[in-house]
Amino acid sequence: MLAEGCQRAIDEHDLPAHTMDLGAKGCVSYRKEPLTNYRDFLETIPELFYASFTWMINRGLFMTPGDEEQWTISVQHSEEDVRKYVDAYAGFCAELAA
Amino acid sequence: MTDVERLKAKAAEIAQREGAKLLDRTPGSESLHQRAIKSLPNGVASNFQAGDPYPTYLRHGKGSKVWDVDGNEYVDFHGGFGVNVVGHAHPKIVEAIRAVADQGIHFAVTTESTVALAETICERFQLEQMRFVNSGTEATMDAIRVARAATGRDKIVKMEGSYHGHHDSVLFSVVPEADVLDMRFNVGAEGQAWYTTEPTSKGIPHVLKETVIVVPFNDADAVAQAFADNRGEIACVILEPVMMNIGLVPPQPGYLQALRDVCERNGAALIYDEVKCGGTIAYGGPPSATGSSRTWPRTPRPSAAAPRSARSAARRGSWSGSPREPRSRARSTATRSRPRRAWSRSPRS
Repeated sequence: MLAEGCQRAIDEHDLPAHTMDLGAKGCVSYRKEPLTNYRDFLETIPELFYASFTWMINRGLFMTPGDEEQWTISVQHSEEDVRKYVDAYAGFCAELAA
Repeated sequence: MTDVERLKAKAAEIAQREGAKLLDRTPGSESLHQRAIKSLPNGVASNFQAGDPYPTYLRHGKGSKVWDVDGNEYVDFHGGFGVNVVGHAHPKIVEAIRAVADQGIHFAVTTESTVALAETICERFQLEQMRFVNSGTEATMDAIRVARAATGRDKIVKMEGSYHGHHDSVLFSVVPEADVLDMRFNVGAEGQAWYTTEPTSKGIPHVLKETVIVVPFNDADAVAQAFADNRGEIACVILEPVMMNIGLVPPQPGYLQALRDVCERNGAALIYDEVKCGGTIAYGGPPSATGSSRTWPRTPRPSAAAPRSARSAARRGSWSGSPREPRSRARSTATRSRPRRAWSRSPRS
């Protein structure tokens, strides 16, 4: 739900990014194509992550502080928590693309 | 202006505007930072927590929420880098802590609870035996030592840009910049798929660089070539089966099985570092993950992946030189050269 929501926002604004998740962990990587190793990671755009970090924390969403990290969804997170993240991230994508 | 340049310019504008807002509403964090830098390097308990100009300091958490020292509420998607997969102050955990708090918590003697927990973990992760350690650093350090003890070899293979804690053997190629990648420090012939490189941190003996072979993740051929070029010298291959020092990168189909095969052919251990990609991915860790076309060979984790002689060595304690840990442990003084991470961190060049 979280990864799908973020991916929808990325797709809507055709941003150079993609989501990846597995179990409780996931992330947005700022390259269109999925990563296979560290060299691919160096092709991501960290400036976009750091802008998203400030945007999200000012909207009540506490994220890991680096683009190499992932989100964690705990057993106590609600759908409302996830929606809040997705809505804020959609706002960020719209602002970035404006 | 290209699309990427336009996006970077817009991102800088957002970061500047939102960064100023963040500073305005976190005066308590700024104040605590001024106090903290007097007693803690960078004002934090770990360099991973550092921020520029200061990090957001938290006061408490409950459920899915955390609150900073200024009273601002957040939904926590940080989750202690994955540790808090049960959230904060979960009622069952609070109850369990309260139940034992007045019964003593440390004896340096194994208790019934220790055995019960070990049984649960062995069942969950399909292990023959397990050893409790204090951190991921200690876990990978011990796993590598067991592999070296069992094989009588010194060299290890690790993935480019991977993090396995901060002990000396693995602080190589953690976050290499583009200009130190590739074969710049290669000691072999052109076309060699592996290389050695300088330590990531000061304070690590340079002689160790000859013991650490670096290969790209998802490249089984590179590992095979490393074994061929270092015949009889490699004790183990260590990796996160889902690489998490660069976002979240799953193994390509067949990759883990190929590593398992090459390790078996060469009598080396295959070590899975599941500090971050273990229980957060699936009940039994990566091998039990489902729902994708990825293949997960039943590759055992460190304790079981090591040859039987390694498990025997671990039981005897011979791998640490003594069945007991030294009474005084040197404090880690390593200074990580990983960039400080914050909303205003300098981007990679």
